[in-house]
Amino acid sequence: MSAGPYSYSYIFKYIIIGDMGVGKSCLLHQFTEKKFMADCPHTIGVEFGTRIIEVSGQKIKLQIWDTAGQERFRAVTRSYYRGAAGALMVYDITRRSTYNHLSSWLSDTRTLTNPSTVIFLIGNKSDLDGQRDVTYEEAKQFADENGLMFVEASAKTGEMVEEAFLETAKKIYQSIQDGRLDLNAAESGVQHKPSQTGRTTLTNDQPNKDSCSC
Amino acid sequence: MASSIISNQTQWKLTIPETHCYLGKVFYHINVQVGNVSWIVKRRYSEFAELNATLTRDQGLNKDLLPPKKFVGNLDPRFIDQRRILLELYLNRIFQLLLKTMPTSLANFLDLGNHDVMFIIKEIPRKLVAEEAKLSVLEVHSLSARLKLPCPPVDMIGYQHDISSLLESCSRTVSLSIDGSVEQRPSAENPPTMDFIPFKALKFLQLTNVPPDLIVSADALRNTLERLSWIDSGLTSIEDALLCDSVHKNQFEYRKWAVNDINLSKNCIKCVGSAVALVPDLLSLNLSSNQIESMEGLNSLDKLQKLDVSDNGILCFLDLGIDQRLASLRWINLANNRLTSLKGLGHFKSLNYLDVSSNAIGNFDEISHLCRLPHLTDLIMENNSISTNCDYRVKVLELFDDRASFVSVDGVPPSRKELDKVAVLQALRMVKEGRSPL
Repeated sequence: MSAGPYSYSYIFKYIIIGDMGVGKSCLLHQFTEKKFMADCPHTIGVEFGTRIIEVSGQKIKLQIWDTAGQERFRAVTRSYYRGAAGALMVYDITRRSTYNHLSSWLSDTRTLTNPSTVIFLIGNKSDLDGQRDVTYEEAKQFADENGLMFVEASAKTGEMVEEAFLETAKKIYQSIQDGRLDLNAAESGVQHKPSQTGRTTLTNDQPNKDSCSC
Repeated sequence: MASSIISNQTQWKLTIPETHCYLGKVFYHINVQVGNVSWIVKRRYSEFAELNATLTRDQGLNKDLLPPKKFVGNLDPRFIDQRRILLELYLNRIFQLLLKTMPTSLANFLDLGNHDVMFIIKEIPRKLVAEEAKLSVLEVHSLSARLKLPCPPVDMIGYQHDISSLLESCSRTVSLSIDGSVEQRPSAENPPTMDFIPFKALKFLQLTNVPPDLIVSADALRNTLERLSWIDSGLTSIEDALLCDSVHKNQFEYRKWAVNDINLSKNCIKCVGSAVALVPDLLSLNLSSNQIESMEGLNSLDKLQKLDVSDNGILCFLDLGIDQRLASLRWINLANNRLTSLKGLGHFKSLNYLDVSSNAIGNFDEISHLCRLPHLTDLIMENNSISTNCDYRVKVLELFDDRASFVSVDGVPPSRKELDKVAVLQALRMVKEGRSPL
């Protein structure tokens, strides 16, 4: 296999969570395709996207699970938290109710992931400043109190979207360097591929029957 | 439709309602029901014994759970019936015990690989490696269903699979073909519905024998697909294909397709209506072997270059209602129809290939509709009543005047000898018309 755009040395698993209609799928689409998806349909269950990024000279593949915001899929989406290295928790700055629900999303995340999971709070739709319902300061304070990273972003314009995904990866990578995140732990959400520099495809891999990477 | 044990851990039922004796061998018909899906697996006692041996070895089950072997008189109906009841009990006990572990031997014995979403999808990565991936309706259905199911809990060992790499393979798949004819007819109450959400980069899709109502969402295809073949599937209109996922087939906004090559041959399409506005970039349309009567909607496709309406029983081309608005049309196949006239074909000034073989054209005057086409280089006329005429090729070519040497008839360019004859005939005609041949 040749070293190419698909080679990487780490895989980080992310989940994107938050209320229905806050723009989770659009954030993912903006990050993976660099395009805004208008008329995005409701996510049914989960969707999946990947992108390879670079942090401190290391190629890292992000496997991103985009979950349905609808309550009826909660049982499905909860099963994807396990083993997430990063959780992007999204609310809509123009709808206070989506912000008010953050504490319940946060407690789900804390319960279902491990202590080293990096949680990043995103206030989406920053392009709609005129319709703002939640101030930056208020959300920033919530983030600080709960030890979350925070930005306001816009899936529509792309503003700060890249940053949110990359900062999360940097923080995870830092945890690995500091030894706070144990790569050997079953549910770290990180896979290291030390000896493989050129993995072009996962297609040929036999699914590992003993472990679930979801 | 496929089911899944993981979401029906208490809604399952295993019964052996009957046995069949075939060529001196007894088959126990096991009815497996999981949720609202049920199927039948036929197994012999020896297969039960084999399963039991494996489970005893690998799972530490007590080997005496299985009703014992009998060597004499085991075709006695009373004995078989008794054994049937005991095997049913046995199956229920081991299923209950091994529901969470689900070792491969038991999964195979119950044919979960063809009926349970979690097991059906395990085979998919292997099939996606092929250059042109082929999947069954049930497999694509199971992929769609998998994304609506929770991940199997860690303790359910037999159900684990690498979903990330499966979805990655799907998202890289460029060419996919789904043949529904190899499967049994989907049941009406539980159709194996499909969406194409995991296929994010699909360019070529071929559906054979796939009824349009099985597709509940085609949104994932609209922006990426370049070529769509949907053949032999009972489509009655182009809307059936392009709006397969719409309940109200009038939502033309936002549902455009980027596709530029569509093949809907071997369906039951009669009319090309306004739905073609959903494929504004269409370059090639194949509607062969349908029942085309009208194609008026097609006139809006000003980029269309290739049109195949062979084998449709068309009586009169003019009646189809297509005209010079199709300014880019270069290639038309009208073979195997019942045309007696070529009227209307003279409109397409860009035309360079025309196949009207196997029709009912009986008059050389019909060629005059074509002889003003400035780019026509290929004309296929064989198997019409005029083509039995002894000087047929020369008579056809003669009508093209000074373009005669550029026109190949039935795939053969005119020979020197033919062109000489053409020149003589043309000169005679001019004299007849009172003009000077020079």
